[in-house]
Amino acid sequence: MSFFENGIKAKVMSTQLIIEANVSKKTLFEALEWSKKFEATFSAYNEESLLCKVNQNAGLKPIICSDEELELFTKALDMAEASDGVFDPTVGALSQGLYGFGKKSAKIPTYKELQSARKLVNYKNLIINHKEVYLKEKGMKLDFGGIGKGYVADKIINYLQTKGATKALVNVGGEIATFGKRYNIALKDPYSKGNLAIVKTLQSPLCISTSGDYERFIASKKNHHILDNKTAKQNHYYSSVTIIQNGIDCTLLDAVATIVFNTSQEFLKDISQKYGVAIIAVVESGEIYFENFKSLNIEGVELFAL
Amino acid sequence: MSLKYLLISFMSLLLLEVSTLASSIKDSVSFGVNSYNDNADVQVYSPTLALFKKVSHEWMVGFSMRIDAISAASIRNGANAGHVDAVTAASSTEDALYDDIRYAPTVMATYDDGENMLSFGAYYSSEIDYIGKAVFMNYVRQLNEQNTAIGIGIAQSFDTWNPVYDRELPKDNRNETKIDFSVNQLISPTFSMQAIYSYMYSEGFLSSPYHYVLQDNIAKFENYPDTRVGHAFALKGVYLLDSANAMNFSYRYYFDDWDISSHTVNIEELHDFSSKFTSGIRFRYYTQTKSNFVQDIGSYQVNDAYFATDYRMSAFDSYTIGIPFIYRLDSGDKVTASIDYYQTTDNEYIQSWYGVNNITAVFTTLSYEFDF
Repeated sequence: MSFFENGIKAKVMSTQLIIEANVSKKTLFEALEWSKKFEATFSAYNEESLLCKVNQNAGLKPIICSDEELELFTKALDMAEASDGVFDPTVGALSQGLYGFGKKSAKIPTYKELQSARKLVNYKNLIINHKEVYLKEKGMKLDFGGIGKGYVADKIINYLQTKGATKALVNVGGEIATFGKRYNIALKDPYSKGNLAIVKTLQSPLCISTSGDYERFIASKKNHHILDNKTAKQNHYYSSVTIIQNGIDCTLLDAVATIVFNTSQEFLKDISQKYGVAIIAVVESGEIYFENFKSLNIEGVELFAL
Repeated sequence: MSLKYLLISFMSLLLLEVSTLASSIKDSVSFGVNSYNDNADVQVYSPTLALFKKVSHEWMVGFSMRIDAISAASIRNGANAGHVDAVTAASSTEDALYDDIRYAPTVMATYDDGENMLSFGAYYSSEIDYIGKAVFMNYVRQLNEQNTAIGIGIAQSFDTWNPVYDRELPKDNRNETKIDFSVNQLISPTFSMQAIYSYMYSEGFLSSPYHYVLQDNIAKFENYPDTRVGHAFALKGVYLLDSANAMNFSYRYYFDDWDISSHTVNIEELHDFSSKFTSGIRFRYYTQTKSNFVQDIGSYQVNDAYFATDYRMSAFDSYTIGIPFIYRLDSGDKVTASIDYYQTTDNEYIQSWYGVNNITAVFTTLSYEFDF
């Protein structure tokens, strides 16, 4: 982050966190500290984290959480219920347990292994009681990779607003929330290092989230990291989906991006209306689908001509 | 890529230091960190290491390493830094904190018999879209009981573009030749002058692969002539005002066949506050005319041979003001530091590309040097 800008840039949750806002540096560092605390609590790679403790005690005993910690478990479960399991935070048995995305031991599991582990993916066995979280089946694992970054973006934006920010941009590894200023948000082209388009915002709050198969995969994009919980395999409907919504709810958008990625094109309109979001979906042939943009209050979308 | 010039400046400083101090140089190590921050969202943090070792009475070898950790909107956001505030993308395996890291080692050797000093070496730099390779040689002959010195320096670079964003270039090389002729003269015990003539020749792809002209009816990447020939004349002086004050000053005039001409004035006053601590102030003024192919924004025609949108092809002035610090420890070790503030005049090309009226930057250096 530039010496000249009121912002901060850091590496958190294995990704870039960028915050620009008209608040003090102290407030920016407090937001950074909060995000580091979040990472320590919900990291799937830190065995001391709350998330790992819940996973380690699956089928054994509930783990006590604070109200603040419980909020993300609850939001993840709500999204799972609303999507009838298309988004499912218990996908960890597949993503972490079998594939090992993000680990050195990442591998492509056998069909038999996948079918066996698939039974452990079921949000209905995630039990949240008052201040306790419990996974009913031994071997179940939570993975908040499909919702965590959006949640962090929301919390940081909320924190900045409580500190008096009237304009801000928060970018948590591509989960972006803005308000108070016109921003140009580019959508990465899944087939090159360049960008595909620019969303030109107005001053009103806006969130953008993207999921795609072109960054995290094992051996080839065929084995990308966004798993279909029903089949334990990868879908290839799209190369990239971007979800946009006025307001600040990156948590929702982060999860909806996963849902859309696992939903065929004929249902794009239904999903966009159900969640009140606009969708830009890029398919392998290079075609781009735009859905529900009439609902958006933005200046426009500029497709790169060069 | 423009950061390459930081490296060249660093190399020039290294050569200057060796040229000046060759016969008295000792085995030494220095390490430090430099930084550059500007309002166009470019930040560079550069750890440096330099090692000089005498291998005989006449011969010395040196090695330096500079690592530039670069954060730049132009890399992160897809070329047009002023146009994009952020990029939304799929979750990556491991996002790096910096957008690019450049490694730039330099090796060199120096022969000095008291009357003749020859230095030569090579440097290599590697960054995300650019490989820089160069060899250089500098010869200085002492005359007139060492009151006069004449020198010649030659540097040749063989650089290669490898642009990101699938940009295909008409050619990918960029070669530069630089030849310096210099005369040093001790005018009096307290005043010395140096005159330098430099010849510069560049060929290859000389524009940025990413900057482009965007008008209602035109979308064209920058395109400059394939060659550039420049000449520079410089006068430098060091004047000891008294036992505690010294003044460095220089003037440089440059012109080339792109019709860019420039004047650069440097002046620095150093004061010994004690036997250990020296500080002062320095000021630099730079002004240049525009190239003969840059046009007003919005006035390019589709059939134009050349397109330019980089402000360095336009007319602009810049100012730099800085404060150097030198602290000598009892052990003989030395700590040097500096901070400089840079600002250009308002410029419509800067406004168009970066979204700010002018470029302002702060650069700092900090190093620790000791003999061994």
